[in-house]
Amino acid sequence: MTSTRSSRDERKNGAFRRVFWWQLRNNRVFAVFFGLWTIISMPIVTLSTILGNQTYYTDMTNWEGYTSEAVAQLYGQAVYYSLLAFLRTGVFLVLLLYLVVYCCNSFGYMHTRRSVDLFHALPVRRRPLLLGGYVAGLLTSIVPLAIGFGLCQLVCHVYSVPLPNAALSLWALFGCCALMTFACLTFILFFMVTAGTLLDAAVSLVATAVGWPLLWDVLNATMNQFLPGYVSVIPDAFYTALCPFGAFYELFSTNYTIMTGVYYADGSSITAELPGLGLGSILWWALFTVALLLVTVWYYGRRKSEHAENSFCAPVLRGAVRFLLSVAVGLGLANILGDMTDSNRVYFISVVVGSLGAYILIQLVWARGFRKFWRAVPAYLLTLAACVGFLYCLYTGGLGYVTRVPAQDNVVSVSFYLPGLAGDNSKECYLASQSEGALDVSYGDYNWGYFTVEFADADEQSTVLALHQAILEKFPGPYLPFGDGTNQYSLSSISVTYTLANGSTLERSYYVPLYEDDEEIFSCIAAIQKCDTYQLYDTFYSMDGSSVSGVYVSQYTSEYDYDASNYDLTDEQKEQVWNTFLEDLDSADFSYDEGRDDYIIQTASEYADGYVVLESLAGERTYTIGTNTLKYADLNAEQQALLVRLLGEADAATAEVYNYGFTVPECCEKTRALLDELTKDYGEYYWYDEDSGEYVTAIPTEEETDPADSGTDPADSSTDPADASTDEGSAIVTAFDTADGSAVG
Amino acid sequence: MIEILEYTKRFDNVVALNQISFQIQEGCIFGLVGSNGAGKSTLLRSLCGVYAADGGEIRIDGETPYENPRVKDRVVFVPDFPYYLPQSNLRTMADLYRRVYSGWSKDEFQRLCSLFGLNQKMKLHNMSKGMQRQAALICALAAQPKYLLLDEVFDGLDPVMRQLLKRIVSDQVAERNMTVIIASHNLRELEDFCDHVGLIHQGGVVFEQELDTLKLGIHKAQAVFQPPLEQQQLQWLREQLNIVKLDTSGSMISLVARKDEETVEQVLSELHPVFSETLPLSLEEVFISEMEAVGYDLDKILS
Repeated sequence: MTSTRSSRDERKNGAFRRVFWWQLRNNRVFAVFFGLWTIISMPIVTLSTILGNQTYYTDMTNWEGYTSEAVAQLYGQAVYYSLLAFLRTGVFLVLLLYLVVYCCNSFGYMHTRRSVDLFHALPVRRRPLLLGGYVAGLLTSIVPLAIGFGLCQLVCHVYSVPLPNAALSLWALFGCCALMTFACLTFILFFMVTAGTLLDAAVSLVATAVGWPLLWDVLNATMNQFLPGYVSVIPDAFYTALCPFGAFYELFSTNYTIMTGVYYADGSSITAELPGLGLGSILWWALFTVALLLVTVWYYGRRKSEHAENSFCAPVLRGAVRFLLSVAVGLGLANILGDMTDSNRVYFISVVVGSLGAYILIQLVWARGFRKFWRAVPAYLLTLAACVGFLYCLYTGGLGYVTRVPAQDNVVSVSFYLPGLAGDNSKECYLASQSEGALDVSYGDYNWGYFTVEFADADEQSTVLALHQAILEKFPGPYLPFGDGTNQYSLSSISVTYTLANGSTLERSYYVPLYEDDEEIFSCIAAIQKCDTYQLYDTFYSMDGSSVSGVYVSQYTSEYDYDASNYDLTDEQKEQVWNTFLEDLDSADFSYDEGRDDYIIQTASEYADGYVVLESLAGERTYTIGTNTLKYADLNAEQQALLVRLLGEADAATAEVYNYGFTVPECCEKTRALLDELTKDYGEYYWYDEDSGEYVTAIPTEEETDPADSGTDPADSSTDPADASTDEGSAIVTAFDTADGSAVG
Repeated sequence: MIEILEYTKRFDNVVALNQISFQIQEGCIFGLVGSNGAGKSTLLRSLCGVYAADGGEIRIDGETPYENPRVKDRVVFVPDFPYYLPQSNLRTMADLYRRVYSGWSKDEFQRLCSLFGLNQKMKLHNMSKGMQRQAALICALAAQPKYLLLDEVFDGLDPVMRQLLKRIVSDQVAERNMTVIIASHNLRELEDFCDHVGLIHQGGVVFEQELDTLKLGIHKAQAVFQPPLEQQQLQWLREQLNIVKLDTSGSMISLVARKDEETVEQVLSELHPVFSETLPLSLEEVFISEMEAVGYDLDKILS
């Protein structure tokens, strides 16, 4: 009989190694499956994309005007994005499945007493026992990925397909994948170690992975619902901060634009959208994972063997998961039901019912029945108290969140944004709604900026502060989530951002119900528009007739279809249109008329519940005065100085300022009449009229209309356009040629 | 040597072992007996380092086994329901033991497989209960431990296998001075296998003794007295013989006494019995008598 008895020191040092190799052997079937899948599928997908697109990208007749380098770069991008799509589905999901299976197979022994008897009686300390399996799992996940990425690189090299910034992008992506694999494996292991049974581990894992982002989403929605002006202060990364699976998936969706260093024939650079993690995320996941691993290893060292099959393992964690899910479900359900019923009573009842229901359900799962139910009640009451406390805090204004307006001497600069002013009750509102209070600039190669107005001058800042105060008067509090009868989509949107003396920012975004009698707010907006800085950002104030590029005519040919086209004007006509338009803006009546939309002529149907549905009327024309894009040289000295300040000299020199068009409101009657006259020969609109079963047109052609009538009374064409489409008496059936030359009608 | 010093183990509010103390010498086969839930398996799991102490300590060769690979390398535990890895066979399990036990002997493994006649490639989960237990024993013995802990090892083994097991274990005890602790309810099997025995009841040790000493130190006797003994005489008997159990039926008395055979006969003869007979107790009778002495009344359980 022979036996090998190693020295004690050797055994101590070799425990990790021996567990590692044994776990590799123990999981060889799953590891080989995952490894082969990854190593084979990734290069095959790359190869098939290369071969599938080879003809298209190598035939330069498809790429007239492109350099061969540019085509190769675009070819590489196509291959890269195809691989990325495969990684997001074929590799990511299989990898997650592998990690779960691996953990169950390697660490599932902790959850049954019989297996604990075997493993904890082995002459191996707990930590090498855990880490040996952990490292084996990590390597069997990451090594196939590395080989897969390497083979993809090789295939691209063999076929001379340049991946976008190849060396960096693929290996950077692999690095991110490896980091997130590290995080996911640790995350699963943590719940395996801290739970007494596999079911508890699964419940805790899923509850955290789903409950965490859900909780923040629900909290954000709740604060948004309660607090006027609320702007989310929760960074996107926070939602997945405790959900590595979500962050891993997001990894493939996050895009960073890079310059490839290859240029089109016109000298502009080809860019590529690459996935990856930001530096902050990389640091977070590295630190989080290391910390979680340390906690897991420490806890496993202290974990009692008798915790197997015992749901009382790590009760603190269990309480945290239960709290998290109960609050998320309670507030989430309340938001949904409250929104459906627009009732605060339903909202608050739903908070209690939802959180209690979730709490009972989790307790049932964890305790396998109603055992120890009453012992869990105090913890629920604490959960409910936390919810009530949070909601009360919001009810009273979120600890001063709503009413906080900075003192003027504490403000360094103010910027504001008017992305949508509903109603257009005044000239100011109309102009602001057109420009949105922002400067739209492109510069350099494919760079674009949207710069909101920023006031540094104290007098100008005071106009925004006054507007802010005026808005707050519309929200006196206390604050409730529902039941105010307003519809967010019919409100005016106003955002304000203050940069304070201490370097912090204060941002608010309001949905304000503006009515005709809100004169204070209108006068505040008007005061802002009179500021020099505002007028620098809004090119309307420096425009003249030469800024007009033409007129954009659109006409609804039925309720759902419309036709549109640009109509060129002579210089004289441009001048005439612009001057008439300015005259109209000063004299037109912008007073609010519910049911009328100034951009498009519509009919309003008001229902019993107060909702107004606007329907486009066929045959009516809408005019938009187009304006020229301004190059740097076209701007005045002050505007040029602004661009230099915003972009720097080099980029400012290449900048182009985009001007919005001016959709002519219905109240600008003189302008509309002029445009009717100028564009009377424009197009022949026709559509298939279901009632008559014929193609009809609302605007008579010259041959069919008395020339004396045409253009004399522009209002005629907008009196009742609906009739034009349905009344055969006014609709003229025309014969015209279709595309194939056959006559229709 | 195994020293158990004021050892306590709790599970939540239940005290499984309460400050028990005794020693187990090297090279002995120690039978651990006790009622269901007495704490036998808990003690074995504590000895092999699965459970940490909640009080007191266990020392094996002077070191505590919990989280101590050096000690655990010398201790192999075969639980009452051995665990096998999913889809594993005897070779798979042997591979695990081979990697972690420094004393693993491939030759011994092969020899034991031949002796027990087990197919090494057969899936363990497809084996019968008895074959699974044999497999666990093969792995345990091939690791050549200094301390072998067996929990209800005879369950499921046929008589031939029981004898084979006893012989193999006895050989290893003789060859390597291995110490065996075996927890079992099968007292008849223990009686001709163990040289020491310990009785645990409700988390405490009732007694721990060499089996021969135990059997020599406790006897049952029957005697007929004419006229029947009076209460004073019965009380005198109790005092003289350290009686565990005493029944009277008319002129006949039956007793179990913690005295050697000679003393029992001498004391009885002083009362001039018409007839008397003294016999040694089987281990099972000792167990029942001692359990009754600590209030584990068989009659009450059966009634």
